[in-house]
Amino acid sequence: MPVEFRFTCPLVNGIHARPASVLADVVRGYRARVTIARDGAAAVELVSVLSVVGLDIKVNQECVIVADGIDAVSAIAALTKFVEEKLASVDDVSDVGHAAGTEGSANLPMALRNRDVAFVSGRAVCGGIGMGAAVIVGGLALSDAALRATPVSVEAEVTKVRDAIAKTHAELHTRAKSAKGIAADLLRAHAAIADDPALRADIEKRISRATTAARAVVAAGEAFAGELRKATSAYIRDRAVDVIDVCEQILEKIGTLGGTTNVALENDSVVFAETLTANQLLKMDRSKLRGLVLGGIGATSHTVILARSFRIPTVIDVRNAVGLVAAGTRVIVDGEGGLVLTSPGDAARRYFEREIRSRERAAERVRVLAQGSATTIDDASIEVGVNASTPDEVRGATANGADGVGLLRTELLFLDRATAPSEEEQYSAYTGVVKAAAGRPVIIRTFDIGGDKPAAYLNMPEEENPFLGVRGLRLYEKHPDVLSAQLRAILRVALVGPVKIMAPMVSTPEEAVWFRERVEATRRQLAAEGVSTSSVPVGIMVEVPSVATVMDQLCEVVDFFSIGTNDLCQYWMAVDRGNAGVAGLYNARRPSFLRVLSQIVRGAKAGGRWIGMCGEMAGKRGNLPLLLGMGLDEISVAPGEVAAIKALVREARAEECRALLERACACRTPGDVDALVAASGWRETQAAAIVDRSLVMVESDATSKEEAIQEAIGVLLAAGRIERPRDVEDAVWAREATYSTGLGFGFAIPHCKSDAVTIPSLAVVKLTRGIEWGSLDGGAVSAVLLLVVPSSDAAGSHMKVFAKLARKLMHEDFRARLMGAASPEEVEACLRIELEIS
Amino acid sequence: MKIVAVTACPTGIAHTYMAAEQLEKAAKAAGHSIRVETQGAMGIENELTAKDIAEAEIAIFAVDIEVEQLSRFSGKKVLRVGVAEAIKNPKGVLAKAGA
Repeated sequence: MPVEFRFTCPLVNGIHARPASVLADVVRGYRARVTIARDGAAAVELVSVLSVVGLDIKVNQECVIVADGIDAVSAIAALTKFVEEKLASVDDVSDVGHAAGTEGSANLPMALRNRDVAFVSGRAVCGGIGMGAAVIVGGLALSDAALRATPVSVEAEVTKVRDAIAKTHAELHTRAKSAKGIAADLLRAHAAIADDPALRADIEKRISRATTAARAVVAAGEAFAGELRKATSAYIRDRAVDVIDVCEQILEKIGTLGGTTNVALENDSVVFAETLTANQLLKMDRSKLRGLVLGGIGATSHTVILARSFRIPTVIDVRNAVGLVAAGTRVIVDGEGGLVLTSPGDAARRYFEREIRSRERAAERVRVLAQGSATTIDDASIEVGVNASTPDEVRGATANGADGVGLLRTELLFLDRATAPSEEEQYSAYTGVVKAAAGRPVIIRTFDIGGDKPAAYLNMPEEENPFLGVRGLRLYEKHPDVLSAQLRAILRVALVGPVKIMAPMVSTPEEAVWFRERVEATRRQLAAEGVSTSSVPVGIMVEVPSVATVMDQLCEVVDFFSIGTNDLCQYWMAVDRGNAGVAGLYNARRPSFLRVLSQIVRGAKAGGRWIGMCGEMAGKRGNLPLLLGMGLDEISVAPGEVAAIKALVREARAEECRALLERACACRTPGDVDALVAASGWRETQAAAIVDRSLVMVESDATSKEEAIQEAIGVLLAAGRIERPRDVEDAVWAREATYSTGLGFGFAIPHCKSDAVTIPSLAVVKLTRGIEWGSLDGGAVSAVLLLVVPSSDAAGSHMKVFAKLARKLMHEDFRARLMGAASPEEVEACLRIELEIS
Repeated sequence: MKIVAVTACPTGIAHTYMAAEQLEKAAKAAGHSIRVETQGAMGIENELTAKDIAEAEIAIFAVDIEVEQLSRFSGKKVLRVGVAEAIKNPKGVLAKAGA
């Protein structure tokens, strides 16, 4: 009697090779015949990963699994349990962020545009610059001997192929055990493909028509890959290369492969391939792999995902990738601009070598800044978390020193859809973020939806004033199922990594008690189902002013707090900050607001509770001394700000910050607070004087105006003064186009305003030999002063320094002193004195 | 001789001020009285008053862009040169202005 089970596919990328292989694992031990089907497609055997992948089951599609046989009931029970509890987490959500890829436009650097440089363009999917000798890798190819061979006998060929498949399968299993993360998942998926009954049946059918084992593997592999390439989902299409990958390994075991599976790299190499398999990439010596140039492979292929995780500069969508250059040709892969330079001349080589050097110096600087904790001079520490929502963002932030995720908003999962997200969908989404946080705590805020947001399934009535109506936690009592699914997902994710649960819009201690009870009840429910959960801290957002006066009572109920300054300030001032008529009242530096914030933090500390701050106020560097003064345990900021904020904390004194906050609380207006903070000498950027020895290079070997400009920009990049050096380069050259910035007397002062400039800066580059600049006096230039200004801040006090510098340069004695300064220290000292910078 | 001048370059970061400095230096060396208004990224600085303009015998515009508040100079004798010329050869510019 057949038994069936229906479910909705929870996986964003559909059921591709990895989830299909795990489903096959679940039923493999049973004797019942188990099939899976979706609407409009014939059922296929669940143990055949390739057939299941070929079904092309997409997210939210209804599927039905049918088991028929002696142990059908227990097979379905096992599958049901697996699908409900684990399927969603099988998919590594981190892949989703990659799916879109970073669209890199072909963008030859300005300095090379007039240099007759040969290049081909593609799509940049992993940044950085790679230089090396071209290594060409072909597709599924047989050795000459294998091509000429005739089959011994059907039995002999079948035995040969079965042996090869068994060895491949066993080897992949062994490798999967010692691999980690994405690589381990991938190897398991490949093992399942090797073991796939449909693939084996197809190979054996071909052998029975009198062909060799090797030819049968090639033909079957191409046939299955061809089927997958027809799928509507780009993600599934990209799995075709997995089949080719496994077939190559089988051929290798038969001993008939054309010889390209193991790509041996002898020195720095750039690999060119139409479709490089993930297996080939895994087996390469990555210390020698400098870049990848790929043709018919998608941004969501395992190969590209691995390339990103290894940070290998990669350009895809390159037409005729294997026919571009001869093996051994020295090439350059520009993963920033999406270019491949197939015969780079001296100018191009020097350009990219320079860029590699400045990028390495910049990365080193950020690594040093981000390392360790943010601790003030007088030993007060503050955690610097991030507000982030995707695994990619979190991964980037943790690599750059974030101490955790201070606020994970979950509303996006709930909006613009017909039904609430399932527990599994949420589990899958949160798992991706928690994995990316790599052991650092993640604060997950339960859904904060109000009457002004589209979520039809919550049946929210029209409200006169949704901002003061049923939103956040106030909605939960009417929708216990929606809350329960989210709490279950979060409690289960706690087994993946440290998480905390935070409720929005709590305005009374009773609500906090109620929420806590919901969490406890959910935990008991999970325990009753045999799902153990570890202890998860429960906290609340502080965003309703009524909370401020009962912090002592709340400390008895919850484990932690996070202040949401945006709403708290609006409710505090009774102001809608989007209403131009009253928006002027909304200001987080209003003394009454600073007072209530101080009171809240004191309340939490008195009750021994951890308190952080998310919201715009926390992310503004200018507020940092006030926040340090309050004694917050944590601030949660934008991912790109972590290193800079940590660096600022290390320059601060908590004692001075406390005194500053006290004076700020005594002020009358936000303007008074602004003036007070400004007068305290607080800088919003770390030690970011316009002039600094780190911005001076005294012996540059640049040989042209192009190189000298790039050199100066590289100096700024290395010192953390700019982002996107090519944008700065474009802006500098746009200015050069009006007329030359060569002053005469050996000086040039290129300059620009650009969004890519973060800190107004003056870079000084002295050249070992003079270069032509089109100067006013026709002479050579031996000192380059590059002035850069952020577009948003083109009239700040730094402009006075630049104006003074411009005037000074008209005086011979100043020029002589500057030319005579031999070291970065001397140049800095000379400029500080002459430009009267304290 | 009394002279007023306005300097202005496209980005207003450097050449505006270099030209101003050169004109001031050259005029001083030749014993002229000069007031130079800069129209740079920081806006108008050292702004010329109606009195300055009225008392001057000539106005020198060392500019690569349009002069702001041009109406102040209506009826005034004006010498217009490029910024680069004022930086490179301020004496020559003064000579052209009849100083």
